[in-house]
Amino acid sequence: MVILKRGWGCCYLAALLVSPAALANDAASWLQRMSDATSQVSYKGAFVYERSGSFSTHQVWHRSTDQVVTERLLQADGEPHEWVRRDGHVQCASSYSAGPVWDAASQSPQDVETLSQWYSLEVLGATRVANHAATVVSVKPRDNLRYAYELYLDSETGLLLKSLLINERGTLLERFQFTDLTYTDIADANLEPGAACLQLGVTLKGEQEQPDWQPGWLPPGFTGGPTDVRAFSVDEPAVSSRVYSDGMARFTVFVEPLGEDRLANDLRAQLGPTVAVSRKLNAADGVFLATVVGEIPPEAAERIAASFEPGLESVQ
Amino acid sequence: MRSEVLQESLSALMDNEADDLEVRRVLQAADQDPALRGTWERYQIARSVLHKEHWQGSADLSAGIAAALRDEPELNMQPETVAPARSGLWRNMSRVAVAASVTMAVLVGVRMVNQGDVPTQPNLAADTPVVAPSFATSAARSGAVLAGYSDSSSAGAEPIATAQAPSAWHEQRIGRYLREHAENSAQFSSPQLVPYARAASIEGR
Repeated sequence: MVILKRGWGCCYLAALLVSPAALANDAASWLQRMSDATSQVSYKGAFVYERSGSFSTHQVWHRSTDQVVTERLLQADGEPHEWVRRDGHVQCASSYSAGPVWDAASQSPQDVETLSQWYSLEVLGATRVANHAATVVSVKPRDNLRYAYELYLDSETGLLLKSLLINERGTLLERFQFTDLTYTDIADANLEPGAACLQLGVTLKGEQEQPDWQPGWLPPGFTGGPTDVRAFSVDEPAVSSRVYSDGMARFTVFVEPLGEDRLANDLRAQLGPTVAVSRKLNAADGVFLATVVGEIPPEAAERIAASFEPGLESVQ
Repeated sequence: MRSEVLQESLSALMDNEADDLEVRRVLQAADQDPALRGTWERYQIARSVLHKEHWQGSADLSAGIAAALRDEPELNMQPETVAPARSGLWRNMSRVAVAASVTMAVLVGVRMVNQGDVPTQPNLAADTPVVAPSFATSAARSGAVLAGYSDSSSAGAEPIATAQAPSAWHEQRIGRYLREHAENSAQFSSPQLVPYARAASIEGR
């Protein structure tokens, strides 16, 4: 009896010592499964998206064959917003800008190892979403420069079934959640875009020389993609933009010249989980407007926006 | 005895099993009894842990629930006739009705952050008025409104709170940046559909 007790005690102690790391590893492998699931399963389903001031329902058809992923997304209420994406490239979209295809190659695959440097990962438990058993993974920031995520993954396939974005005060910023999901082969007909889905517009490449404004400070862990310079419309000066990501959160920095009919001041705006912070930049060759837009805490965006310096290569 | 009954009602409420009178009783008592409110809060935290749902500890749901109930027609029933009987068609019907009210109220309580949230207010230019958060006011007016259901009434002023009135060009620009950022994020092949949904929600405005 005594031996038995001692035996349990030893195991319990071992479990205590091992479990935090094991849990994190477990969570990391779940996130890896989530990344892999996209190219491994075919499904159709319906999901909801909710944020401050907006609630919408959507349908999705997703086909994975030989590593080629084709996906059709259709908003089920209001305007029939539609989006068809094949092999990482948007084929058509019913967006007002019908913007050009951004370089998808600049997206680095989500590196789970790096991610755990900035977020603590933990498996919280099991529940049910859209009638599928789900494993809940919490992704909590280690600083106050990013938001927390709660990811509900299909316990069998790893597919993301539900995602909550939470700020540092524990307020829910947005909810994505499947309400219906069926794993099945998807017929071609279901991936055909409707009439509302328009071919993408032409890229208006900006050729103008611009001073290379870059943020002098970035939250640790964020790295930038290539800088893209293009005009939003034919008669406008070019806007330079650059996307930064830490593997979970993402923000874009826009810089463009101001002018007499292009007046702006310092500004901070918030749309659901997305913050936008504008700063006026004075330089010898004119006044520019730098705007940080992304799903990051306003304080972080403010700090990035306050750090702009001309011609200085940003940290990282 | 009274507190035992209250505790039982509170448990029933937490299980979505409370009838209308029980909900009113708990609300009324919680109004005057900090201890009961504390218990309620602990139950909510416990439940959120059990359900693995995120819970914001600071929100007080009772106000939202009271608001939801205020809009409901009064019951023509004496408390004594209801409390002990825990079965029957009437009770089942009322349970459904109350559960619906509570769900609505909870959604109001867990309202998404918006411009009215004090700590996120812009901290610049305090001398100019801040654009009023139209969503918050419309929600307050109608008692229980699910976040985002007030689309038509708030569509005009919903998106942006600014520290000072921006120029028309700048305002238009911010909208454009938001779209560009969202669409750009959505175009990356991502394991998540969230960026797409975000873009669609901006598109829908």
